[in-house]
Amino acid sequence: MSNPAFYEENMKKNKTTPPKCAQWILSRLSVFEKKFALSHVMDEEYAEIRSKHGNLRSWIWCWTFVLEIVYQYVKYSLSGSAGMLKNHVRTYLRTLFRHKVFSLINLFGFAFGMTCFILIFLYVRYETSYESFFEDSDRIYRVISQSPGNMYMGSDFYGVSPTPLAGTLSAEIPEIESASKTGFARDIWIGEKEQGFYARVLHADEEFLKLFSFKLIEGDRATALDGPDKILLSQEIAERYFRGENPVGQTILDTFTVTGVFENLPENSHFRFDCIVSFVNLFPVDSREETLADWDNTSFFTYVKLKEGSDSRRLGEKIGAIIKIHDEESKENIYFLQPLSKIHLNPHINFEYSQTTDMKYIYLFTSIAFLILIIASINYMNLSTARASLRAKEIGVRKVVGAQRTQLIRQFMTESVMLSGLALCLAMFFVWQLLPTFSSFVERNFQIGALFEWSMLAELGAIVLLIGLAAGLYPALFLSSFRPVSIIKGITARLAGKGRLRSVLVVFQFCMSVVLITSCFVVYKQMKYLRTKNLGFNRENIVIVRVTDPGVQKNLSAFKNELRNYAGVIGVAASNDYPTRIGSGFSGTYQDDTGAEVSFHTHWFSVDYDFLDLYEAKIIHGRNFSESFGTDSQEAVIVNETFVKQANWTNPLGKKISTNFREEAKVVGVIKDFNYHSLRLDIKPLIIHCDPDLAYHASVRIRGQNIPGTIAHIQNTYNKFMTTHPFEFRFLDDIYNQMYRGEQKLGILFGLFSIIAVSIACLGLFGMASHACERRTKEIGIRKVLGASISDILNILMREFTRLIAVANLAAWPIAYFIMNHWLNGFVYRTGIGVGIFLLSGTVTLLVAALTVSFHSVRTANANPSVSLRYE
Amino acid sequence: MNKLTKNQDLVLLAIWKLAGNAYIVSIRKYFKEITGETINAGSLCNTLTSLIKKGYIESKDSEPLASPGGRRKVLYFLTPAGKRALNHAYQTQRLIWSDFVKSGLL
Repeated sequence: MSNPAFYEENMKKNKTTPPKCAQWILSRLSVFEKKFALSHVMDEEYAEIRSKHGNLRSWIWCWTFVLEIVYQYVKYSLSGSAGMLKNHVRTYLRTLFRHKVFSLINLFGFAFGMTCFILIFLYVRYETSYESFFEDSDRIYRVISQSPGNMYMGSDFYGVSPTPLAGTLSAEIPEIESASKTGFARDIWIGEKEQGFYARVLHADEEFLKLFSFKLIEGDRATALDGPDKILLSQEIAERYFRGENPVGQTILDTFTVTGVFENLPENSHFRFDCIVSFVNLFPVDSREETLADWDNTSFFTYVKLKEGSDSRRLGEKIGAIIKIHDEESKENIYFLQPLSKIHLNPHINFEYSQTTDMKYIYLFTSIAFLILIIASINYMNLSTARASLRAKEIGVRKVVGAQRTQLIRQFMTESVMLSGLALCLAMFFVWQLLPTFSSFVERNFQIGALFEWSMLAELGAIVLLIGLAAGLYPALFLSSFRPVSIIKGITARLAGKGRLRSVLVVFQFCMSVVLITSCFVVYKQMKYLRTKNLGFNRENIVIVRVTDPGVQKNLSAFKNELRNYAGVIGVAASNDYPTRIGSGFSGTYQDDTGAEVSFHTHWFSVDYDFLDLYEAKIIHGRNFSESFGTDSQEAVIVNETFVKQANWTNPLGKKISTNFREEAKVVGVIKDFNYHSLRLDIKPLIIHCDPDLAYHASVRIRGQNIPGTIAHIQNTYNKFMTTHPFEFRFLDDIYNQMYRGEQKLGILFGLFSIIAVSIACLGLFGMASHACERRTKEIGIRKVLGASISDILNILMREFTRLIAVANLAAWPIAYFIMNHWLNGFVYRTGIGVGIFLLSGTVTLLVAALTVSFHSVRTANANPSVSLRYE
Repeated sequence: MNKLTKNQDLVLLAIWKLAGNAYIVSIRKYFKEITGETINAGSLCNTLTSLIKKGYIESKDSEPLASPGGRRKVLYFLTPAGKRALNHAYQTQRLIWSDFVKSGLL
């Protein structure tokens, strides 16, 4: 490179000026640039350093130079404005204390809004944090399937997959790092009769602990589940059962060796269990090999961990293809990989370890949280602009002595941010007080510490700034636009403006409130409908007693008879399931009208001879099961109306149905349709068998008097026969209501939110009304002198606000109708929305608003004109 | 009379020394020469600002320079008050140091 021409050219190409971006940053610091001509300084020194040290060094130098200047610039500008900031704070505190009512209205409006917001925020953060504590949780998926046509509980998605799938996947698909299978969790009675307790047991294979990073306190992750008869306990269970002894190596439940202890599961996981047991223990010893290789048995969960960068969608199809090779029956199924973090937020998958949350509700609550914040911010905007005249003189003077508009804007923004900061403190206090109640309401365990995590505080800080700036922007622009000349001339009356924007904002506030109130009424109406709807059987005073205890099971008829003899008991019956829990997935063939065999899917249920009478279910054709026929428990079956409709039978009686349970059964009766699942779903075909030996639950109908005494009697009778499982009972009514717990909570939440929204909006209205009355004191005095009556004046004062509320109602109704209609569509059985609800919510808001406004109006209207006119 | 910080002292001195050609680049060079330490441009700006506020120096824009890009530079000059302050600083320093020398610690 000794060629001088080349060197020169090279020099030209490599610019000797600093990077454009750095120059631009310097030019933005206008004060420094004007005073010190820093860009020239940079040019000169940059050129020198570049010629000495070359590209990289000069580049680094350039940016450190710029950074340092920026830092000093910030320091410089803060030292200049600190005095001003102090002045703003002082002025604002004075204003706050001088107008206490208005300050409190603004403060509490913000604080209520923020309290709601923080609570909802906590909830949403928690719900979306599920499974995040597992290492590599973003690479873990569950295999789920959709089997078109096979609907259960309103969805044809299933979380389960065949037994050998996990092993096959890790062997055949290279993208899968590991795969594990688990069984349903079930409760097992651990310990002696009295001191024992239920523990939830999960069956899992040896890959489970490698796939999921559970924290092991004792034991070896690699071998803990390797082989049969091994069990891991949670810390809590180990403590409770072994009371301080080292559990590892000990025997529990006769056959299991404890191989480890894991830290109690965090609550934000879809897994719920206390013990993990070797997977093979699910099956009897002699049939293990063959069951483990059985592709027909799809009642297990398969989790897979993918290698980094794998495409989960494509893999889902691949897995589907593999299953279809092995299992003919699942040909129509579609398979997917469901990300671990989405499991908790998808309620549409059948068979889960724990209750899920619908993402829809999370969106709903988040939007309500923001709505309430907006309503609170509108209060601030309206009150600050309506009461502009109070600050007018200050603004005028500031402008006359040379305040720039930007300075005034900064001042008012500082004020709103300060207020929202204060409100946050107050809101934190409210949240602290409300947290226990709220936690138990949403059934989550929130700790107050969660409020003070860094990320939470940062987000709250951001919210304070956001609200402060958003609510303060309009008042700041509005107030700073005043012309000092007109202020000093005394034209303050016109300062507040016509207030068209304020009216729009008030309408918006109340519109949102009305939407919430209406929604609340609709939810309540639907809940009432669900509670009182005739289900097709009598569910009053029925107690369901679990009879899975071996002792009770053996002596079931004695148990039933002994109960029947008690005065408080009307009847007893036994069945394998009870309404709300009746299972599906039962298949077989039936004979249609022409005698041809048709295969079917149906729900299925087994009862004893007394069951249908006890439940007062109506037989519309044929007869009930009866012991006197002698063969009913082998070959009789009762179907429901929907089944008949589906099978298209003209005469259902005597039709043959064959299933793997009953080779040859005949329809002896048709039962009137009854709702054996939630009212969200319509009634599905149902087959009822009679099998007095297949009994897991006893239904006892008791008399309405002395219920505790009757329950105690049932318990005593139970205890006579019991060997291991303690007495457990529930009221059928409770079980039914339990199904709608989500909706019930939604109703309560809507109620609360609408109360809060309305009270915040009314706080604002109160402020506006009191200001309007203050401003019109003289006008009203004159009107009274000229002969206006009190009712005339009230009319004048209230008309304005009432009109706004009426408009808000008209705007809100269609919105509420649209939303709630959508919600009701989730139920097959639903009430209509009806005009009554709209009128009711309209009346409620009008009344509340009128009351709020009248507080000041009545006082103003009653005031003695001689006093009000003397004022000034 | 206001007290001067060490940096202000040195910057003032540099401006006197560079008489007529004192601008940020040259001041920084001179500063490095005397003390062996660098002073950052940004903090130099703030030092200059406070010296201007105290009335010890004044700034003047130069004619636009020929290169590069016709930028101007800003030159600084001592005011009479600045000269007095420098003198005063010297007197104090001298007194202090002479005591130190006399005490035999040097």
